[in-house]
Amino acid sequence: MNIRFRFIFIMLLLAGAGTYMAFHRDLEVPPGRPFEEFPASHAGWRMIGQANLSKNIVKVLMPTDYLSRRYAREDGSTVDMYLSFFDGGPDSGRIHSPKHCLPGGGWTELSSRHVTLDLGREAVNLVQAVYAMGNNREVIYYWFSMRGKTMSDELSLKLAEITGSMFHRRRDQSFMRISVQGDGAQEEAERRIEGFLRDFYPVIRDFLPN
Amino acid sequence: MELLKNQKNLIIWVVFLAVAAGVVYWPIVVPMVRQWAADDNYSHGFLVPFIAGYLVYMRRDDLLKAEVKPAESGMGLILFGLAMLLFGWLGTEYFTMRASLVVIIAGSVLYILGWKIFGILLAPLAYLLLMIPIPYIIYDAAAFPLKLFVTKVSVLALKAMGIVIWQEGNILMFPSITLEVADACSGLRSIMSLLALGTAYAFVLHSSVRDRVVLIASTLPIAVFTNCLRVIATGVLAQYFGAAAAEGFFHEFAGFFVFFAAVVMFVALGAALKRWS
Repeated sequence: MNIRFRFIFIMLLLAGAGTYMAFHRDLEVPPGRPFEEFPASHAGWRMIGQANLSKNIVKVLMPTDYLSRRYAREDGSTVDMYLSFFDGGPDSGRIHSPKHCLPGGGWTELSSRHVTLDLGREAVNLVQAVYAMGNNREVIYYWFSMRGKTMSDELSLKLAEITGSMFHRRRDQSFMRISVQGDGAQEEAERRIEGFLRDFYPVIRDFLPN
Repeated sequence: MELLKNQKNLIIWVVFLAVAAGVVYWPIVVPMVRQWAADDNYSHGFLVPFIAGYLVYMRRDDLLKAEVKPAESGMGLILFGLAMLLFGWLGTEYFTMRASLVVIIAGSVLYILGWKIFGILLAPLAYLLLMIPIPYIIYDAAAFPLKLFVTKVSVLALKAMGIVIWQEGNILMFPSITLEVADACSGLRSIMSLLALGTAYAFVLHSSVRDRVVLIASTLPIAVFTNCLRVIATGVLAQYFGAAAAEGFFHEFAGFFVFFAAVVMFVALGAALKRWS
């Protein structure tokens, strides 16, 4: 094969890749429902606080929508939830894993395991972790979800992004974190988080796209 | 036998190919160049293509005398590069997309000109990879342990100097103020600059394989060591002169000074290696 032909062949391949990239656009998928409609009270839980992320953090994360709330039960026990959604369009950011963010904030990971939690109709893949800073302990459950599938590791998330964009033109994703602060009573914290999830999981699903 | 210097119209085809690659890679390369301009830690990116060009120029005699013998295996490398480009693009992984350009160039050299010339150009081509900011995942995975390490060593040193200090993760607490060991202080960023410049230095001024390996490998410990010095100096300043001293002018100045100190240590190591050989 002569050299000129080789040049032309490579240019054709490049043109093919360039054409695909020029015409492939991911869809902007709206959330199932606007996050502001997320119930302030549900199944015996009542919202007792809501926080906003600082401007700088929003600029880095670029979420389409997010909720950072604290819920309390009658007996006074509280749970923090953080839910963020990225619509997958050109202006949306993507999930930053707590595995990287928390140690940066001075938290040390004491334990972390991947578990599958059975929540009635659905089983959710999540990370169950304990982080510490000084004398503070925080029990944290978190997961990533894309197109109704829950994942607990960063590599699966990356693969789901690639296949989602390739086959469905969808890169929309959401991140859920439930945590309980405390100084040790881990089993109680886990029970509380799991109770919250049983009550709220169907609601959360309702607010995410399918 | 076809020699490279007899391939007169090759240059026209190289220009065509460069234009085609330029069009496809425009949206990928432009943000990278912007990042070089915006981020001090990657400003060496502007130098890298020129240094790579100089490394090619150094071997011009070998190149012109080399035999042109196209190798089909180059197509494998090109296809691999295209797959990197498309998957990286679908998964918005910038490093993969950007690195694919270097892989495709390397593949084209092999596919069109063959193994001999590929071998001659391998070092300059690999050098081009240093202009690409490293991927998030690797950066995060490496920066945090490095940051904790730098913090730990600095805390030990500060305690040994009799300074009261409390450490939590990458946060240093003094009775008067709290300091955070930021990404920039972990040494990872200066490792990238030092690696790029050090590799150029090693290839241009040293010819023995041993010297080159030692010099390139030394960039990591030198960068980490000088960053420990930086954190310790900041801590001492914070202790005796207050937070303003640690956060203001000195912090900016320290960044420069630390890099300068690293370069001095590196050049001294190079000189020592020359003497011992």
